Amino acid sequence: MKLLRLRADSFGALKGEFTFDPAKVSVIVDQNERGKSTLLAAVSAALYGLDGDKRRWPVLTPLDRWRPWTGTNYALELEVESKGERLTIRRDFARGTAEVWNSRGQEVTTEYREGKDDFPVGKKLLGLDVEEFEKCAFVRQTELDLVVPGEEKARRANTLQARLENAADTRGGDTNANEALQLLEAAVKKYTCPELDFTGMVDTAVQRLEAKRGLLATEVKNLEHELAQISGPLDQLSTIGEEETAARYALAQVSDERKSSLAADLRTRLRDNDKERAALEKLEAEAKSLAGCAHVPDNAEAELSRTVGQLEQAQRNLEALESRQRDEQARERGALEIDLAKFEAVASSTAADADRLVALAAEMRRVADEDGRRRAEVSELREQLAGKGIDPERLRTLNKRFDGLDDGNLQLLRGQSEVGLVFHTDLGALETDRTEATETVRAIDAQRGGLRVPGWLLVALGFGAGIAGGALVALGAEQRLWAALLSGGSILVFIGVILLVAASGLRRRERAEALSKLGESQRRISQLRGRRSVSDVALTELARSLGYRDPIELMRDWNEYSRVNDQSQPVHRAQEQLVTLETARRAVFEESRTMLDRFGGGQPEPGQLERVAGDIRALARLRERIEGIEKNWAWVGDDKRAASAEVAGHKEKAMRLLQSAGLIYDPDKPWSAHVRELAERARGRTRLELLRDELVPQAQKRVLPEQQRAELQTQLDSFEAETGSGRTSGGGESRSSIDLERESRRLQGRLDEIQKKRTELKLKVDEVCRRYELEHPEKLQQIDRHEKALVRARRFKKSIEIAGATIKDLALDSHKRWAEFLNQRVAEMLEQVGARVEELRFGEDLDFSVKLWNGQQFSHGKAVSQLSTGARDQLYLAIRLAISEYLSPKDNPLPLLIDDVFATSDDERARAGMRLLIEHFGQRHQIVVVSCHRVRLEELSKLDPELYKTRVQWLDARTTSFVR
Amino acid sequence: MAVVKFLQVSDFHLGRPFGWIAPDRRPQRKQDQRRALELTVQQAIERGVDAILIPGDLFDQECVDTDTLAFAVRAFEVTGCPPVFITPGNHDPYSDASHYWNAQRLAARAGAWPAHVHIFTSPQWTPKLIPARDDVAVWGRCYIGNVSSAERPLAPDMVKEVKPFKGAPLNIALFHGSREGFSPPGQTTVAPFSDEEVRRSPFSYLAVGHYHTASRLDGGMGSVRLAYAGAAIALDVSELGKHGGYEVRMQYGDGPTRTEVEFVELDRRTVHALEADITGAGTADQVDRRVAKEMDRAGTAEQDIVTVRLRGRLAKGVRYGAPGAELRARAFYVRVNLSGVRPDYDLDAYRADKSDATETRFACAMLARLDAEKDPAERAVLESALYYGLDAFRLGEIMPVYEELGE
Repeated sequence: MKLLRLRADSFGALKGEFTFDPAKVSVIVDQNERGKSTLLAAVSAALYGLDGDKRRWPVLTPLDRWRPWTGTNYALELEVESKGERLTIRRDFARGTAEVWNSRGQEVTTEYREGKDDFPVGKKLLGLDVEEFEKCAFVRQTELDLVVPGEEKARRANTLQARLENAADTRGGDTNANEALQLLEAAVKKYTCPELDFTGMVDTAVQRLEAKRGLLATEVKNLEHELAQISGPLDQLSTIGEEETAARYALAQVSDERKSSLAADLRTRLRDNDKERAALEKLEAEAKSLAGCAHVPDNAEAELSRTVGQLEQAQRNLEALESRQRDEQARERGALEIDLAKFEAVASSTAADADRLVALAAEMRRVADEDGRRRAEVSELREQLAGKGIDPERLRTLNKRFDGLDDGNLQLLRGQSEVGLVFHTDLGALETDRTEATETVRAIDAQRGGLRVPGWLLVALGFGAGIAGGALVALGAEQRLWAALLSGGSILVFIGVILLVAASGLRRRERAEALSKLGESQRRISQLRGRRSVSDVALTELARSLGYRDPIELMRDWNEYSRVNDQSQPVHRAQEQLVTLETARRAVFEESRTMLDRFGGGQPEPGQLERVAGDIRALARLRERIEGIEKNWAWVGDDKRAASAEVAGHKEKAMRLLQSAGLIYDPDKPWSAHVRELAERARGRTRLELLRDELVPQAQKRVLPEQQRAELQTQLDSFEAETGSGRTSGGGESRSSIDLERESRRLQGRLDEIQKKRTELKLKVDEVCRRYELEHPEKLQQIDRHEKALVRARRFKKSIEIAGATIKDLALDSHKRWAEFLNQRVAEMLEQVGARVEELRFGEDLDFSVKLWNGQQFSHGKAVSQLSTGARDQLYLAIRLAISEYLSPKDNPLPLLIDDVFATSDDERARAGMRLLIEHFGQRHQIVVVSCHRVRLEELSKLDPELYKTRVQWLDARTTSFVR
Repeated sequence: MAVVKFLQVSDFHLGRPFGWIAPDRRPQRKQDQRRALELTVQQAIERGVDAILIPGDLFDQECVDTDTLAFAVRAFEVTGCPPVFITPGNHDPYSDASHYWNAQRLAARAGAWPAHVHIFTSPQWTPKLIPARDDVAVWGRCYIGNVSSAERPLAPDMVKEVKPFKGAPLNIALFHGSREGFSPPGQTTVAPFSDEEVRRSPFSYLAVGHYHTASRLDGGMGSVRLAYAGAAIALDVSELGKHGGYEVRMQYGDGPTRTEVEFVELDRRTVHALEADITGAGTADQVDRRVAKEMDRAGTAEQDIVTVRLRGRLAKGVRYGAPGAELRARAFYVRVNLSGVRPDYDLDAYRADKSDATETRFACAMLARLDAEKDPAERAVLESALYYGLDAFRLGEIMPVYEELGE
């Protein structure tokens, strides 16, 4: 790979653009702290990026280390050539972006992606990670020895030897031999055995599997042993089974015997029960026959006897009372009937008749008194009228003349004065209205006329001007002239019309109202006058019919007549009252006569009327007394009713008693017969109670319930069926039930004991068998599985060991190849720079030993302490260069970035070292050297001017744009 | 010509744990087993056979739980069940201590065999006439645990006592034994016999148990001389095909006896053995799909048992150990055999590669050792070592997956 151009847009103190000549060794010289080393770091950063992980770099991350102190830009652009391809790498550390572009302007960034957002372009191009790159290709003065760490642990962690192995391998596999070995070792340490649920060393897994297999084998043997052990219990089970059968047989025999005994007992019980049932049925039949007496009340017999006695006594009392009443009433009624015969004339009268007769007598007296008073009053009034000069004759004449008039004429005469008054009053008012209306109309017409006249005048003038204009037109006069006439005429006509219209509308409403008022006044005046003339005509006619000369005489008599009538009014009223009294007197008289005729006749005068009325009232009192006879004996009726009620009550009670006893009262039978019947019933009731309360329940108790009887029968049937058709226990000596029970209990206990023992044994056997069936094959299978697992684990271990051993042998061969190269190349380089090292031997972990020119051999650690600083730096530089050379692919050699590595070398060795770089390595690798020893390098160039001129590109830092 | 019919069933192995099946499905298989026995009796009744012949291994081991034992005893207590002849096999050998064959012990545990069940309790040939068939004798011998399993039941000395029993012209042999030359892999040899011995034997027909796959020996003229009915149900994934028993129909009388057998299916599950090439499969799912495709092609049913031998090369980085849930759900049981699967390393390319890369040199070194080794076990180890090493170089990880590799 060749570095072509680096542009730094602020990277630490570095800023500017550097162009490298890949064909030459680029030498950059400047003073310290001017950014020379930063340039090399920038190349590395452009290739690999900068790590910002604070966990890895707790003090200062590389990203922060190179962050510029000023400004916001923090970016690099590196142009390289790799395998003929030119690439531009742009990294903006401020924004965290990376871009890779090829020479065709295509972005190929994604080709260099590793992980999520890492773009280690250098790793893709060179095959080394950043640490490996910096250990071999990026040589810092103070970090030369990092290539081979002093500590073994650090060396083992070093991955450079793996790279050397890869490089030794002609085909770069995914994994090198060392890594493959590590994987194999890890696999052996992390072996997973699912049978054990174990992950760990395969040896441990094997041991555990062996142990588990042994354990399972033991368990299987235990199971088999357990199974063998149950043969005893099984034999016992068989024996117990026989014992159980024997016990059952004995128990069955005892049971049969017991059943026979029980059957006999049952038969006896059933027989007794049948007898008791028959007795019960007899009692129940008797009770049923006496069921009718069940409702006879307590003491019914005594109660009925007492009630019948009371009834008979009450009947006797009632009969005595009725006899006494009848005698007394007959005597009193005879005396009163004698008095009653005296008032036979008024026998048909009533108390109302007596009252009317008394009222007529009083009315008769009142009318007579009133008639006397009124006649005296009339005489007195007539004398008063005569004192006032009123001629009674004149009065009679006037009355005769005017009393015969009909209502129309009387109305006409009475209305004359009113008609005249109304005529005169209304006529005046109407006349006034008419005059006012006329005046109003006239005034309005006058105003209208004031407008109409000029209006008509203007209209006439207008028409005249128009006619004149028309004439002028016809005559062909000057247009101005007839036009003026026509227009003037039109205007005048217009104004005239306006005036006329205004005149016709002036006070129109007021004029209409005045005209209406005028018309109304005129109409009413005409009506008044018409009515007056009609009245005058009628009056004239009346006067003429009454024999008057004119209406005036008529009206004079009428007025006199009216006045005299007004003054003689009290006389008239008194006369009228007299007439009324006379009418009343006649009516009373007639009624009195009529009534007296009903009661024996007589004069209709008040005294007679009052006497008849007195007889009527006396008759009424007699009648009341006769009626009173019954009332006076009313108390006897109450006593009778009480006695009757008592009789009825006693009778009802007696009947109720009979009824309650279930007997029906027969009126044909004497009460004594009923009392005997009831006594018989009461005795029946007592018997029934005895049956129900004592005899029947006792009998029922003695009889078995039907269900129990059925059960007993069933048991008996069952026993008979089991022991043989109803026979009692067979011949021979039968044991007592107690003995049988005792024997049965003993046998049952024995059977229970056997069964319990059998159950226990069976459970034990079943459990062993169940476990054997369940676990034995399972254990065998487990053994089989573990055996297979063991085979697998051993085979795995063996396979891994074989693979590991084979790879190890091959890895040694690889190591041999890269170690030999390094041994040879480092020695050559050291010889060229004048170091007196005869030989180097590199180990597997890149550790080395040194053999000096004098044959002394030092290990790595000792050599580091024995050699001078310059010699040691030369040694490490040689190692780095050799490794870089070895790791560089043939078609893509590593660029070497060297930072003042000859600072500790003397001039000769520095010169030799530079020559080695320029002459030897510069041919294949691009080399960039930075140094602060300007003078020394200039001096060295003077010593080999041709070499430096043709092979060195001088880059003076001062000419570039470092940040100052 | 008279005809006699038998139903020959064997190797029920009642009480078998079926450890190879997923635990949740074992009860189902045990139920299948019981159903097969019930079906045997049912078929015997329906087909009107004269007897049921059970030549051994009715039980799987010397002791089964009481429930299973009681089931077996009750299974024959069906009205109409024909006589049953049982010879104890190597899994349930006869002994005085046997829970099955010792009447007292059986009674102590689960009752007694019905009267129509006859157990042969002698290792010597003993005859028993079929009830109601005086012309047919069943000769049986039991397997006894403490007797050498190499004893030859059909050796001349063993059969010299076999004579027509009570004049019965037809003699049937019932026993548990191994027909030489036909033993399935992994099968224990018990009571071996040769085909020649069969031909020389005095039996008209030999009903044999022990082998779990059905087979028969022709007696000439299309007549069957000997038959294994195989296991009544498949007891392992290696027992391929359908399982059940044989209805044996014998015509005898004038002329030679003619025996025919007809398969009677008792197991609703068929065992399939398939092969699937998984070369090129990029993921475990793809492997499963290849297997599923093979199953479809073979017409496997949901209730079947399937074993699939995978072959070919598993793509780099693909880890496949067992079928996925979806594939498992396609059958009652699916097993994959990975012994034929190899990682996708081109060994020939390594052989041809002449570079001295470490990986190549490793491969060549291992292949050289492999070529030189003749012992298959050692070869398998070397092959595993080769692939582990190549995994280390190529994959950067090692998983213990090559222990199943076989030839």
